[in-house]
Amino acid sequence: MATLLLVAFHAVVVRPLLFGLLGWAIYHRERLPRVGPAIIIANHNSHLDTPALFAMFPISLLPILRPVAASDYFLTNRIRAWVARRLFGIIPLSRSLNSRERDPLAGCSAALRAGAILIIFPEGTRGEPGRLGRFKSGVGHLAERHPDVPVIPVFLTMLGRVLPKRALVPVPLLCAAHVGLERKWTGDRGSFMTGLEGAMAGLAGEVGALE
Amino acid sequence: MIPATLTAGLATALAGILGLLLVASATLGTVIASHRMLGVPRWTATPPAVAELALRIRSWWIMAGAFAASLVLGRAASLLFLAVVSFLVLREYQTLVPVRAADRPCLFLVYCAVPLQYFLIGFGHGEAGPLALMIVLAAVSGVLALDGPPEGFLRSASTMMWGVLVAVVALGHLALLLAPARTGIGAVGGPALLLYLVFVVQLGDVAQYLAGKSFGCRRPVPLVSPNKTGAGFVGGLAATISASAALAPLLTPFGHGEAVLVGLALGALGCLGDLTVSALKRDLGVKDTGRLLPGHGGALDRVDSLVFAAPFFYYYLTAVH
Repeated sequence: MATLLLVAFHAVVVRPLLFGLLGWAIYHRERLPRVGPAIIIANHNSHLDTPALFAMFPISLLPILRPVAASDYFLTNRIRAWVARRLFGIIPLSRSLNSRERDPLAGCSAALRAGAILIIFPEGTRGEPGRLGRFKSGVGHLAERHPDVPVIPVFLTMLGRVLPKRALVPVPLLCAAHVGLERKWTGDRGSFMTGLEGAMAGLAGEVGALE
Repeated sequence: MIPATLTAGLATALAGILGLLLVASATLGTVIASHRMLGVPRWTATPPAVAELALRIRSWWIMAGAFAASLVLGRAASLLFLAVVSFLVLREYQTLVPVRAADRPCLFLVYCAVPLQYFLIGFGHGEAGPLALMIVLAAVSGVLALDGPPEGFLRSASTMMWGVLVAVVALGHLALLLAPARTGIGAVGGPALLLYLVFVVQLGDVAQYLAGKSFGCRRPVPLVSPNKTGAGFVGGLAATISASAALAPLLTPFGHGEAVLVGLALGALGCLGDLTVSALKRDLGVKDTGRLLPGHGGALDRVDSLVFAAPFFYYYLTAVH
């Protein structure tokens, strides 16, 4: 029942709006995973990023998509928490430091073992459009624990101008996702993270999206 | 039941377009079939030029079908179709142009020009061009002046207003043709004139593309559009003149000599619009304005030749007829 609501929301509400108003286009769709487990990483400038990433996948994969979202933002407000859990199936992640006693990535690991496709914004928060922030190391820890899981970088364009941080009303502009080649754990967290940042900057450079 | 808007001339012209598209598809089918016979096994192995042509023709079927349906369905449907075209062009333009973060509220105001313009035209206010433009000019300038930093004011304001001029005011002249009281050409009918204008100009565009691809080596505008050739320009003019001569008796009040002259003017102005959008794309560093129409590029790529031709045609009609 819960899955039905999520699927209906994306199929009936999100997709028509994205494709109709924002001309949602996916470049190199063939590079996307067709089965889980996998990790999608993307640049983050807008609340529309997650629904847009969902719209890259066929409807049959919607139930295994699991965006990783900050619990201090998404679970502190009842409406926001309902939307995040029921309509997007988020895995909450604690950003605070005193959560040391428990493994903060346990939820993500369990989901990957269950065959989910995780959606992670490694910049950690919505940044200014046209600037790529430094990546947090969480995705590196996950890749180290699950070295066979592919990590696929996706660069999103224009969504940050359609609905930036603090804006309430979206402006229709043409948005697109540019899917990069999958990457696997390199055996060393430093080189792995540098590789991911480089891959994302490379995608952005191809599109000419960075200032 | 035959709709009242479907006059004999209009029906004949639409049948002619259907025939042209059938010929295009049949020719393409023959080319692909002959490739197969020469031992090229699969569709994927057809040369890229043929594959692109196939996409272009398929897009033409969809565009011509939607346009013809809107003409047959009556004035409200035609206005809606043209308003959607203006919106699509404006969205491509606003996606491509550089704007500051502070300009975001104005992107919104610019879109408001579309319903404003088309409602004014729809309710019979022929002066809608200047009125809608003045309202948007005041709103955009006012918001930019009061809300944004002054650095870059002129660039942002003029960037946005150029988009409104091209996508809404200039292309809005297509819709003005549907207000017969204004043009004094009610006897012939707005839909017929609209079809004549769009057909002549678009055929010129296609002919220029085909003639330019087939022959010609002189490149008169290498900086703006290196693929344009002198032969393409001449071929385009020949096509607009012949199309105008053939269609004028069906769809317009023009005599023979006049049809040739109007065809010539539409061909030249169509080319000018094409070159203007080429210059815009070169400035912005893109090949196409979008990817709405597979094989063609964006909506602006398709209607660029109407940007100056439509106002010319409207004012020519109101002044002379």
